[in-house]
Amino acid sequence: MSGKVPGLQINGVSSGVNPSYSIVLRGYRSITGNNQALIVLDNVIVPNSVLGNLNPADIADITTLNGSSAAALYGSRAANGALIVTTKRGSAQKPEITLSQTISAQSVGFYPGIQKSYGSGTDAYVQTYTQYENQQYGPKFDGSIKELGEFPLPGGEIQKVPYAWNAKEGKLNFWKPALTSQTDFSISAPTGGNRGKIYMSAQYVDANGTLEGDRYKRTAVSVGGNQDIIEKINLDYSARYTQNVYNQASNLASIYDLILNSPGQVPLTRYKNWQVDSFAMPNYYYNAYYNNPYFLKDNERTNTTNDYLVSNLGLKYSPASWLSFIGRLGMTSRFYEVQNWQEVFLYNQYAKDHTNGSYKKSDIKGGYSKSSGRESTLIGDFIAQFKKSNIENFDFRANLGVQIIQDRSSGLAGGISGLAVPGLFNLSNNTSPASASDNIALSRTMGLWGELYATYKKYLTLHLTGRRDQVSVLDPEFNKFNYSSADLSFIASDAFSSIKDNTPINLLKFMVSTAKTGNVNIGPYSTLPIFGQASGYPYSGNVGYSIDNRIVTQGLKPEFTYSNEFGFELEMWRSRLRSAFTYYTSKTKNQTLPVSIAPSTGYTSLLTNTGITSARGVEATLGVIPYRTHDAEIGISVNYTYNDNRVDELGITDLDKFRLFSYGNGTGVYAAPGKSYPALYATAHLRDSATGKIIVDKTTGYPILDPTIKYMGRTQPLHRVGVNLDASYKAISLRAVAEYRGSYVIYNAMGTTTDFSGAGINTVMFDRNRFVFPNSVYWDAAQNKYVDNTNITVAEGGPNYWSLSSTRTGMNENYVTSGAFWKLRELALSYELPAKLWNFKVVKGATISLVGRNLIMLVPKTNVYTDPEYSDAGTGNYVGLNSMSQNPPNRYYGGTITLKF
Amino acid sequence: MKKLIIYLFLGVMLFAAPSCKKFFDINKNPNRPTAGISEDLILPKTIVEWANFMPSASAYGEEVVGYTTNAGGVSGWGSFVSYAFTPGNWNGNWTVPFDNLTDIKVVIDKAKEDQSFALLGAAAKIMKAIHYQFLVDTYNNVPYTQANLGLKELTPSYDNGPDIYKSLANLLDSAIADINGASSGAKVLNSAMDPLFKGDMTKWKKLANTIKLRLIIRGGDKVSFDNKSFSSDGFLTEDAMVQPGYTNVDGKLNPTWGRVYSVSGSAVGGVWQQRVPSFFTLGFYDGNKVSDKFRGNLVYRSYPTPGVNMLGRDPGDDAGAKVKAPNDWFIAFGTPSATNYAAIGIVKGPSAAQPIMLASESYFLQAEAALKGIINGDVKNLFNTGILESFKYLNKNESGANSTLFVNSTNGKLSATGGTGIIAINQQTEFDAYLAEGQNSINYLVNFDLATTNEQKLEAIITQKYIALNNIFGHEAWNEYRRTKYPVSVSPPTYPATRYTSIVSLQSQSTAPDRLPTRIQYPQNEFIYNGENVKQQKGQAADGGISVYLDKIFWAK
Repeated sequence: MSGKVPGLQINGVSSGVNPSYSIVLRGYRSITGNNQALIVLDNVIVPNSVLGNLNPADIADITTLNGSSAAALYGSRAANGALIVTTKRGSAQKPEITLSQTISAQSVGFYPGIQKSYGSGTDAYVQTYTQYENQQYGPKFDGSIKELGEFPLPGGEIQKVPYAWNAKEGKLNFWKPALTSQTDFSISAPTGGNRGKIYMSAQYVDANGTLEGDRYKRTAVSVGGNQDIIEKINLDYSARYTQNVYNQASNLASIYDLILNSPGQVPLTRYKNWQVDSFAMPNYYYNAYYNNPYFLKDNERTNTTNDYLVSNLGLKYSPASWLSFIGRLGMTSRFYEVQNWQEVFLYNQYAKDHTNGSYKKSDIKGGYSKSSGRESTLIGDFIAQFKKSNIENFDFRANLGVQIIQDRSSGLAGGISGLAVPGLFNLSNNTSPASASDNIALSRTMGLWGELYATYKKYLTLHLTGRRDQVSVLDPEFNKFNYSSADLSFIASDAFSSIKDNTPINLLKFMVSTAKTGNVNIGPYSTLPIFGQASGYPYSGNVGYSIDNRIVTQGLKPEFTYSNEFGFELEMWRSRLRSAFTYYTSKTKNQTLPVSIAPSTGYTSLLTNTGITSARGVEATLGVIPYRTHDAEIGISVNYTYNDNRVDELGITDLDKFRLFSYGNGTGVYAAPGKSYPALYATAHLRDSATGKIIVDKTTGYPILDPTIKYMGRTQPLHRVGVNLDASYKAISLRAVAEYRGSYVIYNAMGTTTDFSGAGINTVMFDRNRFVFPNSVYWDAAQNKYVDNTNITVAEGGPNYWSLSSTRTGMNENYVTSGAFWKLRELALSYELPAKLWNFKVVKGATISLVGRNLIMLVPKTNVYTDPEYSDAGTGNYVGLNSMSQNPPNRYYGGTITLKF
Repeated sequence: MKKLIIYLFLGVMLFAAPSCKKFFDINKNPNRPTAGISEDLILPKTIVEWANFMPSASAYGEEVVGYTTNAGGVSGWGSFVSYAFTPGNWNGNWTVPFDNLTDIKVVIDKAKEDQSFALLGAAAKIMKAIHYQFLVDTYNNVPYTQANLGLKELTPSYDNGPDIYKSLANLLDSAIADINGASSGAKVLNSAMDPLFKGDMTKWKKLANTIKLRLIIRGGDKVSFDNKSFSSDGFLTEDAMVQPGYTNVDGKLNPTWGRVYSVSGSAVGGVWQQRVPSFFTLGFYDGNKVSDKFRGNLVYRSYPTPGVNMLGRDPGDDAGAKVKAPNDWFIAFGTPSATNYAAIGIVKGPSAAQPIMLASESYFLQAEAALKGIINGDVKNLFNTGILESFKYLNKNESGANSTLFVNSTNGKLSATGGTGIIAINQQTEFDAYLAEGQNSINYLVNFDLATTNEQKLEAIITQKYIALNNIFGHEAWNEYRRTKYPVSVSPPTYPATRYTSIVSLQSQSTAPDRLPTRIQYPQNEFIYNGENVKQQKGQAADGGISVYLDKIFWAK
């Protein structure tokens, strides 16, 4: 869907067999609260992850609703907008059975920039080959045969490899192409007495990942239908059950780190069988400081099982033509179980005695943890619908509703550090007491809402909504709040017949709206400080408690967003041209922020309402069908989004920025008044404030670290463009989706590793020679000013510059790149096989299609790291940071055969 | 029809409305208590938290006063050798005490409203005095009357050190009064509530008197105390040791042991693993200034040649300056490890008790008080008992009893078994031998009678206190040095000439005449979140704020 709907941004925030998605409409407005859009599936609120597990073939319709309209219907948790998804209910004509099989492959589509000229070595000034090094600052590749490894095997053998870039077995081959198989089956049929319809489906997916050993399986069954029970009463129901199971390597960041720290001549893929092959065993692994990534991949793993159950039941009673009552009950449940383990590994004495490094000296004691729990949401609606038409040119529609939502969750986790017996992953296999934790949560919301549509002569419509929410998570005196919206739409092309008669315009519609929405973004039980055991308690049966460090202000209130928008829709030439345009502004006040306070108050954080953010933007689409005949059609649509979020003020004296997330040195994502939100700050080079040029030391030529972190830019794209192409000729159809995002920055944490290790392509920018730092100045004491540096080179152009924190890796702005990209999101070609090919009366139709996704990704030359969509934050707000926790991005290609019976 | 609709709808609304209150009254936290924790469950945490903090508190003093110094083979020392302390250094010295004071306040407030908690409240008051004396000794002026008020005061103003000292002395008096005046129905402290004295209120009163004595001696004539008298309970006669049940489990280790080994047995990196003793400190054992073979072997595993260096000196490849893994203060026979240790000296074991004040410190305080006429007593006797108690403490094993190891009476080396000339460990024997060891018989720092002037007597008392506190309470040694300038240290430092006689760093950036720092900076958090108030603390730094080289704690010389 990404790229198809303006304003909707879907980020695939991680890779792997079960990637997760962040779904955001109109940017980030809440600083600490949830900014994700609400997902409603068949009138049931479901967690974000259900969307990733849904079979697209089951979807009948997806509508995106922006904040105010969604909040009126679903309450404050829809304040960020909602994706309303309805699944198929079947066909009322004849039964139809569909069976399809998809096979797709994925392989790495974008590798980080790796240098292919230098191998193992760590010495400065004189490039020396060191045969057990992880760093790659050695001499240039020359093809000669060199020894590899820290020490010979006990039998005396030592590896010898050619000192040249190993393209076939080198580190970039660690990730292997993977395969996914998906089988879908569905039945759609009318039901008894032709008064209803039913749709049933089943799906089975089996996939492995580019990291060998990763495995993912999913099974899903669903049923949905609609039935007129007796005259005037209609029943709508759906139920779906999905189970996914996946087994993955758990320590992705460390695996990637080990891979990057393998010099280019090393035949890394030969070390796959570390249990059997001597040179692959961790005891004898060639690298003194970094272990075998295949070992780590196999030694630390996680197993997850999720069961989702989503069901809804709705009854509609229409006693009169102008009146209907709807009663609905929906339920989502998620049951999960996650196990993480690390197996025991003991290094032998030979390795411990001979190694120069430290990892072979520390035996791995192992560990295991398990967590399980369930989350469920219950939502009940009772709605009365009124309709009156043709009263003096007016039509009226009104809905009044009561909605009750209950969220319940409970979780249990236990862990042990150190396994007594290797290979047994169970909490009883402990060497020291297991730790345990236990959490339950229950919260409720009730909303009373109403909406009114008043239409004059069918072309002017006024729509008003109002809602009153009451929530359990706030203190009783402050837990009710109201919000409302109003919008007006005017279909000019119906009002003035001359438009349709005299111009090619067949639809011209204007809309304007204003809304106030409330959003509660604290969890249950947050209004009182808690006591917890501390200082090591309990000891031998005695307990000791301490009060928590967070206090909450009296009367914490929800955040309120005030938004306005206007727009128009225009269709011309019998809708051969369709366009829509919306301009919106909004302000969010009363942000709920945990503000840090002086420890001398006895506490370190205060949760209070403060801070204002604002947003404004444009969403525009233009679609044309330039060519249409009886047999063929070509359609192109382009959508453009401009979205600017800012923090207006934080409202806290002496605080110039609020930290959402940062690393120890201060680099991170912040909310800063006056700046775009979220904002990226990073450690930077010290610069001459007059010219902005980097200051270097006059003697060493090296740059200097600025003690304060600097603003780098916004981490959300300012501009987004989606391009869709739909073409069909007779039985063949082609679809392509491309997306562009631009004007934002990201921080690639991987850069510190590519530079430290010497694997990064940037490190050979000057061919490891001494160089004059570009665009730099130095302080000339004689002239008492900064002078342009044209001739002072760095003292050393190898590891003494590239790998050290004081000169390069500590200035994190070196790894801040533009996040801009063009992606070919999807390319699909399908062919409906002609009926005369089929002799069987049974088969009524067959389609073959080929699909490729993420086939092409174009990024600026400076981005030699990874996919800018990746985010360490997942669905959290501190977007803008990615790291080695995400594997290189994949491209997907495959084919499907569908048969209809 | 219409009526039916209206009734139906009203019915739904009515159903929805009043059941509201109970429906939403579900916000009581089922996972953690938010109230109703009896204060007798909070008091023990405050005591253990302070005990667990002692090693970090000691560390900042250890580095300045010579107990530890930079070792060879490591680089990047920064403020350790330059003394250029910034608001980013040693923030724990501020945040940990203030955090613990919140819980202490809960107990004191409870005792005010409920008389049956009188004894707990008194213990909490004594803990409060200990915390605040530490804060004032480290930062001079700190928030006191406006501190720990939570929402009522988000930016507390600072009180002056001398005023706080005076108030603390009164607080200790009221604690003793509370204990003496507690009704018979008052809650009695048991060992669960009181991991320090196991409910012995006399010992609490002794502790209160000792802290008050320390306040009076340190405050000197800069504080106008309401009274300088002490209750008849006297002063601490035993080490004040906290023992909640430390054991070799994550989070429950004896904190001193936790500086060396983790539960899984792997050595803890940083700090002691990258430090060696200084020549200055070693000189008080190896005969360069004083000879002390018994305590030398109890404190340094490789005595008389532990790793050793001078602060600020880069020893290059000098093997003598390298750390003997895991560190030089860990006593063991053979290869030291988490399972092979002698259970004696400073690092006794994972389940050993943690001292918060040593008996020897109490006796040295009394000796100085008797010298100055604040109390009555035999100065020499108190002085000798102080040294004796130090031997006794170092001889204690992991369970707090006298160690069953043996010691060679000739060279002081510890031994697992007895033999000719190898005797059972006994502090009196060791002390008697100490008085006659090497050149000690003509040294007034050891034999008190040889000290003729009051200055020499004071120097002897403080110097022996310095030796007794070695690597246990570095912050107290640093306090006493700043107050008295003892043990004697010369300036400017040079290597090798003054290596035994100067604690000053060779890379000192201090602009003070003696090249030493005077204090550390207020912490980062105060500048960010309480900026107005911390900036009111004026000093001699270039920006008008506190200078870590020139602004002294009010009682410093």
